[in-house]
Amino acid sequence: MADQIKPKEKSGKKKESMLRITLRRLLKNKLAAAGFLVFLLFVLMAVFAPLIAPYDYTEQNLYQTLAGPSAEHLCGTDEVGRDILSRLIYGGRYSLQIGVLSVVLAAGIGIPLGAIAGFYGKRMDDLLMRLMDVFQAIPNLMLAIALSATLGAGVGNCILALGITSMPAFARMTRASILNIRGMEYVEAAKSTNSNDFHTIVRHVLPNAMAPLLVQSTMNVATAILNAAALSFIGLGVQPPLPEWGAMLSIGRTYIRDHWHMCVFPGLTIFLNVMALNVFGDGLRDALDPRMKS
Amino acid sequence: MEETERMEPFLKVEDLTVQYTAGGEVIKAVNKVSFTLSKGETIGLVGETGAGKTTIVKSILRILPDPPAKIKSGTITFKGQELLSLSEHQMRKIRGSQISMIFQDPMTALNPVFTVGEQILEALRLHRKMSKKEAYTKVCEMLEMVGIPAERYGEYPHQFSGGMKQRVVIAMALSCNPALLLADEPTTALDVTIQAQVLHMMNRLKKELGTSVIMITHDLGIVAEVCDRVAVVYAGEIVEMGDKVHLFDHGLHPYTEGLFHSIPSLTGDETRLKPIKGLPPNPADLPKGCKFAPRCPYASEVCREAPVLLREAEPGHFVRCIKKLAADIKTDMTGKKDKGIDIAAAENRPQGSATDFIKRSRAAREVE
Amino acid sequence: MIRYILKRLFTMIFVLLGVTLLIFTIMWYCPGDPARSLLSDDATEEQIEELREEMGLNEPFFVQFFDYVVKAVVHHDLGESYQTKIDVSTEIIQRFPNTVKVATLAVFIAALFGIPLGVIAAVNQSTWKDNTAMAVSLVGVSMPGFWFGLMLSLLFALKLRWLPASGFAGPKYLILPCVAIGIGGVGMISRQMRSSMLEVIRQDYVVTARAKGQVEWKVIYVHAFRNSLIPVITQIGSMFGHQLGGAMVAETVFSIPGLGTYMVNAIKARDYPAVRGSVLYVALVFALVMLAVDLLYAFIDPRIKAQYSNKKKRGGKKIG
Repeated sequence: MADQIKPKEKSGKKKESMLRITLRRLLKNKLAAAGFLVFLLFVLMAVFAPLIAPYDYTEQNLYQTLAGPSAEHLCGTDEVGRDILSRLIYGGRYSLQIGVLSVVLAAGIGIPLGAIAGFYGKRMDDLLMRLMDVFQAIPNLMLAIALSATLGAGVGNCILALGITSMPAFARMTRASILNIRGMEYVEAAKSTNSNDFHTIVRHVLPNAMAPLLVQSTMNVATAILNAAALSFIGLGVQPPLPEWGAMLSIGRTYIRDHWHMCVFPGLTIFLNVMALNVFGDGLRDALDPRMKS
Repeated sequence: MEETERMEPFLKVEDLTVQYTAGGEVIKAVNKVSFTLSKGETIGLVGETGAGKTTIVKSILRILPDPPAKIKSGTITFKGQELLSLSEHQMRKIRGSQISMIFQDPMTALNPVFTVGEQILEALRLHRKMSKKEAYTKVCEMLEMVGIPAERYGEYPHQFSGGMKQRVVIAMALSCNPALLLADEPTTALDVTIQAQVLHMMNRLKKELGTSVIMITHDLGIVAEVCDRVAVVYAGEIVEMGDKVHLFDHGLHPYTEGLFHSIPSLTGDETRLKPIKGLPPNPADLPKGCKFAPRCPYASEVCREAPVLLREAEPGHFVRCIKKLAADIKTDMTGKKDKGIDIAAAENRPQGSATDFIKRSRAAREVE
Repeated sequence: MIRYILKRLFTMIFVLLGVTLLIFTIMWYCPGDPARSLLSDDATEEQIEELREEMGLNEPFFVQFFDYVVKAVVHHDLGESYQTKIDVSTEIIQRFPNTVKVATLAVFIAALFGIPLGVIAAVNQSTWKDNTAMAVSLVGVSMPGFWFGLMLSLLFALKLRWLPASGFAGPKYLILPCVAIGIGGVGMISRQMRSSMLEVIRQDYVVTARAKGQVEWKVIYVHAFRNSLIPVITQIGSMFGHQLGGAMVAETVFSIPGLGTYMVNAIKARDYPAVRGSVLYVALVFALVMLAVDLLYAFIDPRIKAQYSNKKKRGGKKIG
């Protein structure tokens, strides 16, 4: 009994201080904090879009189509006279939702699969990893395109397509971390005290594999936003008139010669979001890296 | 004899201070370390991990990573040349040719993507004007010298065992006949039997080539086997330094005492080991007074208040401790109370008993 | 070594079979009826049914699947495009070189700038050089490639008229798409190079080289560089593979007649054979590229070479 309690207490204590160390390091890293704030800002804008956006995103003004940026319309208007800034603010609801939820989905399927493969090893591992091989043999975007063609357009389907595409990366990473951790003493200890497999994985193995997964998730949200935009851009994924950023770009492209603002602003928005997430992910990785002192 | 006394010592390290900066903290790794080394002599730097031994030797070669490490002050005079003021270009000519280094872990000291021959050849070709063919012959000679068949020239490090790799490292370090060899725990990573072989080989080569050696180790057995003199390093300071035999028999500093008590004795006099209590101080926050005071059984208020200087307890035997100095030798050290000792001058004094000890130990070794 | 290659090729067969099954399944559930969409709107149900029968669409899943695999393996026949009635493999082979050209040049640009940028950043860690290099690469990884392509064509093709905005009629047409795709690669490679180099320059053997008296640039470019290259090469390989599949977006932007545009059109037209063929073809090339990458390791790192041939030795011992 005593043996069972001891390692748990230890890891609990360690985890808490680990979390605090990570947070302290993260706050110290001003760039990472700024990245997080920018992303948070975009999320808040999307959530409170009706309060913030100067116009409704569907509101057309046929007297003022394709107008360049002005005091009235900071980012100009589109081909049917809708305010581009408002559409960008509302658009976060789609783009960010796709980015975050597809990663949640990917992690939700990938992590358990990887954990099972890594923990049980042998045949289970072989079977699952060969399956992942098949998924990863097709370039990401190509798989996403094929999937969204089958699933059809729409936010939900886009999430599904992107989630399935990035799932193998999570499975692989979890498996690798678990293989690293599996041989360690506290897992042996947990096993020797007859705690069941599920319990061992969830309580002892997964928390210790979390750090790289967290970083991977952050970066993956950025990639998912990029891929979602790419999908919508070529006419799959979310489709106009919904104000998804990639979809807006795909329309703007038609008018690029004379109305540059239709392309520039949606692209910049995507770029800023992705950059904020990447900066934050970098900071997170540094903060979680035990080799990095200070 | 008289002439050698007046001569500038072969290597003289004075007041060497090295600091690391990490995340706003200043880590005082080496604090005012001074010692000398004469030609053909071997000095052992002994102390716990993290005491600053490796930093001292790396400063001599000027291969500390900067940043974070910075040599704050001090001079290192090697054959009359002040190393710390040389240009990087001049220093490169000394590295590997005049002074070379053997690293602690042979498993990682060799580049995995080049053959061992290529790596020795590189050192040679950098410093000796030789044709490729001559250099190749020399490399083969070096390999044979350390007991590796020359046919293994074209093999990669992963094809060698740990002991063999260390031989390669030694061959590499000795390829240009350096006058000074810095050996950083050259046998720690090796099996005990291999350790003996490597040490034996080093002893032989040292004698053949007349190389001076600074040997870092925490193994007092190795000190006994290869060193002439010993410097005990604690928290970036030399706390005691003197002739090997003398120090073994009459170690003065409580830390030295502790070191000796924490190894099991073969004669079996002691039934229990006496480990040194406590941990070395945090080098970012060193005690104000004697750095060993927090762990020292003899420490008093005086020890904790002001830094203790390194003083000569007996000719050639220096110790950094007020208590022991007062207790063991009654001789008053007035006149040298307020400043450290000019070690070079003190060491060059005719050393009666110390030289006897060296002679005795050498004789003893030869008998063995 | 040869044994290792054969083993890898053997597993590759199974992976590709898996890919075929996967893409077949995905396309199976694709909504819409290709027979219906091929015929004009006033076609009768009988006509549609007749066409379905003729196209083999009424066969059960596994019959269709095996039929496809057998044809592909035995006759190198990936079927006929529903739209154009042209052999899919013929069309792929016609268009694939264009995609390869773009991908190769883009990856080349990425490596050409990314590798030195990463090395400079690592060697000058935490200085302004490092910060600048990392800022550049951060912009690179965060840039939506197709948007950057649009912006480039807006500036250099539409406004300045220096370069063509679309089409594929010579080297000039390659510049903008390759730069647009390459910038992301510059970011990714330089980041990977930096972290890998940082890892390596802390190694003892780098200090050994310095202690020998070797000049600093040789310490970095001879001793450290080769050791830090493996993760970077992996990345370059997988980037090339992903570029083959991801090219469709850039190809759309610049109207390049490559595999990407072919597949996008095929997907929109529910042209299953064309989609399957493209995916399968890209997966095959991707797998071969990654095999080449793994073999390249052996030339960089003798330890990996030993690993590859060890298996052979062990096998040999058993026989002997």
